[in-house]
Amino acid sequence: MTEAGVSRRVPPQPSEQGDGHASLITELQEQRKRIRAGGGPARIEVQHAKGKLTARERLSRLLDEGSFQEIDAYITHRHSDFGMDQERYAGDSVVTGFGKIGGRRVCMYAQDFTVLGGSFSEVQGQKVAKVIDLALDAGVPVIGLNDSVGARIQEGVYSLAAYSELFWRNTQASGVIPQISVMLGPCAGGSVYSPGLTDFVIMTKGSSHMFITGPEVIKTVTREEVDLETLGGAMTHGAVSGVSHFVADDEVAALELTRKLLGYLPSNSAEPPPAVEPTDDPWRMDADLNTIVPVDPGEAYDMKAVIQKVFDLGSFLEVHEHFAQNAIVGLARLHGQVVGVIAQQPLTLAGVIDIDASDKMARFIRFCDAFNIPLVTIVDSPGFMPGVAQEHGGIIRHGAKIVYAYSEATVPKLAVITRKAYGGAYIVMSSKYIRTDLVYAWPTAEIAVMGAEGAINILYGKELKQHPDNAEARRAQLVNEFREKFSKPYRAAASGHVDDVLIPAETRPRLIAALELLRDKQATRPPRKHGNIPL
Amino acid sequence: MNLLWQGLTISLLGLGLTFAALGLFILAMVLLKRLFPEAPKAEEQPVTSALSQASDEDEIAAAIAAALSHLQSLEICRSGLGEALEAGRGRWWLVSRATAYSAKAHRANERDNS
Repeated sequence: MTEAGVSRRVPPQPSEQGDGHASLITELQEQRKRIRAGGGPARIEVQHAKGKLTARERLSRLLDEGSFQEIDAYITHRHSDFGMDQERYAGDSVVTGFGKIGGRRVCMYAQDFTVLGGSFSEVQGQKVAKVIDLALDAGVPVIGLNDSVGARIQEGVYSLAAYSELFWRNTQASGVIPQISVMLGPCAGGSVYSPGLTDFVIMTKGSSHMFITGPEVIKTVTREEVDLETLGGAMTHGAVSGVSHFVADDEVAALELTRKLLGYLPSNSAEPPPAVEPTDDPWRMDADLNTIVPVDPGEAYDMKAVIQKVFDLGSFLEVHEHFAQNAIVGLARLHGQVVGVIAQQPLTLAGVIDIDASDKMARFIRFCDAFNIPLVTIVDSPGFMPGVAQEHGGIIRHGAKIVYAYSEATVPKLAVITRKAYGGAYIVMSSKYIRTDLVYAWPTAEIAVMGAEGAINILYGKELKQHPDNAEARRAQLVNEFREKFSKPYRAAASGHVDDVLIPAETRPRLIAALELLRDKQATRPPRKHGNIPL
Repeated sequence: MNLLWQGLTISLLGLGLTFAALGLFILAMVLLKRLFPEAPKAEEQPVTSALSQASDEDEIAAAIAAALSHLQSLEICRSGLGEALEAGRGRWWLVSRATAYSAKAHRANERDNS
């Protein structure tokens, strides 16, 4: 007990209160106990048998110890059709409230699978809507732990309307507060659009699934046979569809990842992202960078190694690690400051930009811009992916998203061209005149409309055909001449398209210095209702 | 003819004045040289390497001095990198943000009112 007679951690027992109040307190405690039991011990047992935690267990794992404050724990549904009057649980099928992660305030909702399968009811919709409203008013992130069979069929349109309320709020909160969806169980039908609208989706291998229509419906309609995991498992959405930004091995890892991710995000769009005490030497110049790019332009190298050596050691958190691996996006730190990293991966498809890579990069750029995270782009791309499938799939529309996202971004934008920056890829990947603040190039940078061989074929094709006897020697000579002109960055630097040519090892201090300069950058945009990104 | 003679006279007068002025400048320079003669140059010493004459101790001392000077120059050029980032966002960012938000709110209000 403290001097004021109030325990700091445990409320006083009823016997310590006045006699008239004892029964009231006891009743409240009984109520709380019943609420904490969720759907009952039997259902909790089943949940544990599946290797899953209950909603409250998940919350206690995710949040700082003792920080969770539950709200709307007594609310129940009002429906009676299909025996629903016999199935009333205090708090219904979701636990909502607020707490802290790493000392930072967050709003939470966790679907409780032990109560009617976590089905999305009118009441669940109201509870989640309230917590998102609170998060918006308070300017704090909102995190949803999803584990639900979907809409509550017995409630009919009321359940669907509740979904609409949720989606509307997800949209209103987009770009204002970070929204994270952690998928810890099934999520089917229309309910998938809520995580789909949020900034980050984290899926758990084995236990989480997302799909609009399940395997049975697909079999009936299209006669395709597919299992649950292949249709909507974590790896499917992490590597094929790109719906999931992160794939965790299990629930605990997913919750740990959520805590880590939040460490890079500001609480709202008016705040800068959270900085940490710098732990890495700002002047660290890794000599390996000087030789990391092979002299032969046809030889690949690992861009992730470049990222590891340039940014604060161990700070890179890759987003969409398994999806469109020819592009790399992620959050990292430079001298303790959060930055968004966008790069190509020469090890996969030579770093070419295709439809999926375009979507991946554009969405990430827009997220960073919405939340004041500076962008650092590392360019090595031979261009856009050629092919009928890409053209018919709308590579023009998708590729345009990248240039749109970069052009509308007002955060500090830095770019480093490590090797190839050909044609369209040069333009869209944070080039100088789509308002990148500072563009640097390594001595290995090649900035041209296209590769040397292709260019010579177009420019000298006729001449080479007319002299077939020494065509090869002439071609080699022309290719060499072209390379000599465009395989070095000095021509681009001489015309101001590149701000400086760097010794690769000095990239880190130069980026920090540039970031320092642009710390308070403010760029204005003409007033408008909203732009029209080519979605 | 009169005009021709007049033109020639003016040209000759101009040329004469120019050369006369140049002559005066040369005269002034000669006079100044005489009034302020150059100090005699000190006899050039033969260049010798300090290190070649120095003893082992001197060599070590010179090496240490060079290393210290190098370190010092590094410190000078390294000082301050990242300090502005550690200090957090400045007034420029805060004021601009506040202005942007209030302008946005104003526009929204105007839209609502209309």
